[in-house]
Amino acid sequence: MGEQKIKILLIEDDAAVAQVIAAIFRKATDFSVEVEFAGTLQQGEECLRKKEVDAVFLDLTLPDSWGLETVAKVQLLAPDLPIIVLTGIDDEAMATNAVRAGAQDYIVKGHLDAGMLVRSVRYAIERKHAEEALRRARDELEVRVEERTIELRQANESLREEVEERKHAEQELRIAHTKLKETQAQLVQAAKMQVVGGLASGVAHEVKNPLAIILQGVEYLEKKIPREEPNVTLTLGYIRNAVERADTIVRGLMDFASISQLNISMQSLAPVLEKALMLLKHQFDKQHILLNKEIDGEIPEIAIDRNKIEQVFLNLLMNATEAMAQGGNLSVKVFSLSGGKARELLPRRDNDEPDINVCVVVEIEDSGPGIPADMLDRIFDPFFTTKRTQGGTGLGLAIVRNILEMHGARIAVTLRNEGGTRVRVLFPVYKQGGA
Amino acid sequence: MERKKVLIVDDEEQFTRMVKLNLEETGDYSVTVENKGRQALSAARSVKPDIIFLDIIMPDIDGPQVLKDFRDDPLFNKVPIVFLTALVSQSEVGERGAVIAGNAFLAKPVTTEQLVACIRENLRK
Repeated sequence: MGEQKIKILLIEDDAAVAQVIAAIFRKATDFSVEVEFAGTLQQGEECLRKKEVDAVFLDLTLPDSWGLETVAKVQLLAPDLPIIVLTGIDDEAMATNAVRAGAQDYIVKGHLDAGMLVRSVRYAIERKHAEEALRRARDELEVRVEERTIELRQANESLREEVEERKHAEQELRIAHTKLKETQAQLVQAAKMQVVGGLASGVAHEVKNPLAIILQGVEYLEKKIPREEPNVTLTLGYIRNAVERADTIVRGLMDFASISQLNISMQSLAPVLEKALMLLKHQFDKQHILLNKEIDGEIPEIAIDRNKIEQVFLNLLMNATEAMAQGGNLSVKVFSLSGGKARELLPRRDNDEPDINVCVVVEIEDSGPGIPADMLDRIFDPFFTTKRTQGGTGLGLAIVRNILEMHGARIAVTLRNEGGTRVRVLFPVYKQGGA
Repeated sequence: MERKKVLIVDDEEQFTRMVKLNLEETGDYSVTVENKGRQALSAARSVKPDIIFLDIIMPDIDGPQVLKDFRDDPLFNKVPIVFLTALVSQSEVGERGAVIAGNAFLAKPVTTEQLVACIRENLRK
């Protein structure tokens, strides 16, 4: 410490006090002191601006400044400088307040002694240094906290992104899974079709030829055997019926496996549907079925094989009619949806499928008993029928779906909340340049 | 009225025999049966049919080849020829038959009524 030189600024208007303090410091043995005097605050401030000072002794009753304000002004000018307040006995309370306000110490003028002064300066400087170190440490801590906060924010952000990515991946996985299931179902369906198709052509030729002989034979016998024999007439009737039933099944098989080209042309669905309704009008009347028809006049023409689509509507309407043996309400609607609503109903099965512009919907609703939920998945399976005893072959809906798939259309069968069945046939209309 | 002459070319002997019986029973037709595809042309030359029913799958020769032979012969290139076959269904060609890609088809099994309707329609043309 002996080599250390401390520069002190003494702002004190009482020259006597100033001289005493200077004398005390000159005698200090463990460090040398250079004392600068200022009689007013203004002089003191000028000195602080010009020179480097280690500590300030500050009187609180200066000609140009008084009280705590004096401490505040010096602090404002030199915030890092230790301030030791010089005070008379009367204003000791103010001096205490000054310390609270940021001064490092206070010295009562009446009790000046060398040891106290030197200790006060040293402690003030060290306290100030400690405060400085503390402030720096706090600043550093704040910087580190800020840095850590940024790091945490970044980590949080990347975690959020990761969660988002995972959600996205999960969603994609779910879509892929659904597609896979659909593809699997289509493959199973295609395999069934292949088997049935292969069977169909063989069965058709092998079964229809003997059926042709039986039918011709029955016709001949019907003409030749006397009508008076009722059992013979009955028997021949049975045989003829049996031939017709067998032929219906074979015909259904052939239709199902039909690989014949579609005869496609641009058609409005309305007249096709009207024709199917007209063919069944008699049946509706007979069964007391009330028809409610809503056909939108603005629906666009679509590319269809008119005969095959007529067959589809006929089949679906007949199913609805059969479901309402005791009468009921049949609702037939045709409308079109465009943009997002169309895509929602007919989502793309894969990326190769062109984007659709419009979806033409044919909706058929009956008020019958509906289809048992556990059978809904199977109604399109070949040979699945709930009408076996009434001569159902189980090929009707399989054929319907086959025909619709050839058109790129889809069919959805659901149960209505209010009872009965809702069938929706969805025809895609592709954007220009699409399929 | 003179009976129309019908030639049936089909390897199913029982079927052709029954068709002949039933058609002739109507009193309007005289039916000749040929169960061998390769003999079809010579049978036709001797009968000079007004209409020919032709099976498609036959063991010795396919119906379409027989059709070509008929069409290449000036004697028969105007005679209506109908494929009477189990290869098509009534859903595709209807009860009275239909013309697909320029050829007339009638599906088996067939009733005499359907045969008669088909003959009348083709002869009217």
